[in-house]
Amino acid sequence: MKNILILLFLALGLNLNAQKFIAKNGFAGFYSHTSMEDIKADNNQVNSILDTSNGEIVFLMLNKSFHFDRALMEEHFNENYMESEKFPKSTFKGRISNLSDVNFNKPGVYKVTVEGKMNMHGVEKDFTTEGTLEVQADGIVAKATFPIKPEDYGIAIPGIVRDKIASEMTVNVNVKYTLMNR
Amino acid sequence: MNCPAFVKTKGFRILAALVLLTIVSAVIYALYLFNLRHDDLYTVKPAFVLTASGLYDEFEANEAAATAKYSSRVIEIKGTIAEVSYSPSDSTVSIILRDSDAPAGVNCTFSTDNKPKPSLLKVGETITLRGEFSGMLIDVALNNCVLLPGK
Repeated sequence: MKNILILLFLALGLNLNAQKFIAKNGFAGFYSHTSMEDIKADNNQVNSILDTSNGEIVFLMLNKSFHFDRALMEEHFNENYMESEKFPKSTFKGRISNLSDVNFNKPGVYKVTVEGKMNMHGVEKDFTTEGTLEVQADGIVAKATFPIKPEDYGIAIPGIVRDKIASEMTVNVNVKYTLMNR
Repeated sequence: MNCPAFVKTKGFRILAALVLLTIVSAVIYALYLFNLRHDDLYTVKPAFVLTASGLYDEFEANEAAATAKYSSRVIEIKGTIAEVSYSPSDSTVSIILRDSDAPAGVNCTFSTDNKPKPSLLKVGETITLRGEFSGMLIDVALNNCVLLPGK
C-alpha cells in the first residue's frame, strides 16, 4: 500500500491542496466477439485517483484480478497472453484535456477527453479516449468505452485460436470515486 | 465389399474399437476442460490460513517476499468487513477486510457463480473466506472468492 500510494502521488505530483478522489473497486472489463466465440472478462478491483484541481488521472489494475467464467480461459489469459507473472499490472496515467468543461460543484454528466499513456504487457503507448464524468452528491463516476488491439501491446495470438479472439477488444471502464479523506 | 482380409480379423476389430473409443474420450475430455468452471474453493484445501490483517502486515513488511510466497495460492482469511461494493452490472461483489486502525487491508472479489447474499455482507461483520491471491495495489487482492459460512 505504501509503495502504491507513493507511486500514485508521484504520478499526480505532490500538490497537498489538491482535491483528490479515490476508487479501490473500480470496474474494467473487456469483450471480444467473433463468429466462433464470445469472450468476456471483468476486473472489479481497479484502483484509481482523480485530481479535480488539475484533471490528472491514474488507473492501476492487477491482470490476475480479471475474472473469466471459464477457468481455462483465465489461465490462458494470465499464462499465454498477458504473462501476468512477468507483467502483473496494467496502468494508465493521463490528464483530462478539457477540464474547464466540467463543473465539479454542479451535479451532472460531462463529456471529457482523456489523454495519456497506457502501459500493458510491458509496452507503453500514447492513448486518448472520450468518456464521461458524472458529478454526484457523494462522489464522481467516470465511464469510458474504447477499443484495444492486443497486437499493439505485443500480445501475440497464435494462428490456431486467431478465429476465436477478436483483433480488437472492446474495453469498458466504470469507476466510482469518493473524496480521499486525508 | 472388397476389404483386405485383415480387416475381418477379430484383432483388427478390437483395435479399431479401441482407437474409436480413445478419440471419443479425448473429444469429451477436451470439451470438459474447455467448459471447466473455476475450482470450487469450498473443497480446495487452502495453502495458507490466517487473519486478513496478518496477511496485510506481511505485505507491508516485505511486498516482494510476500508476493512470491502467495503467488497463485489459495488463501483462507478471517477479517472484519470495512467496505462492500458491487460491480456496475452487479455481476460481482467486492469487499475490503480491514482493521479500523489499518491504512489498507484485503480486497476480495466474489464472482457471479458464488456471490454471497447481500445480507451476509454487512460492514462491521467478521467473516471467513477463501480466494486466489492476485497481487497487491493499495490493498492485497484476492479473486474468485467464496464465503465460508459459520466460521
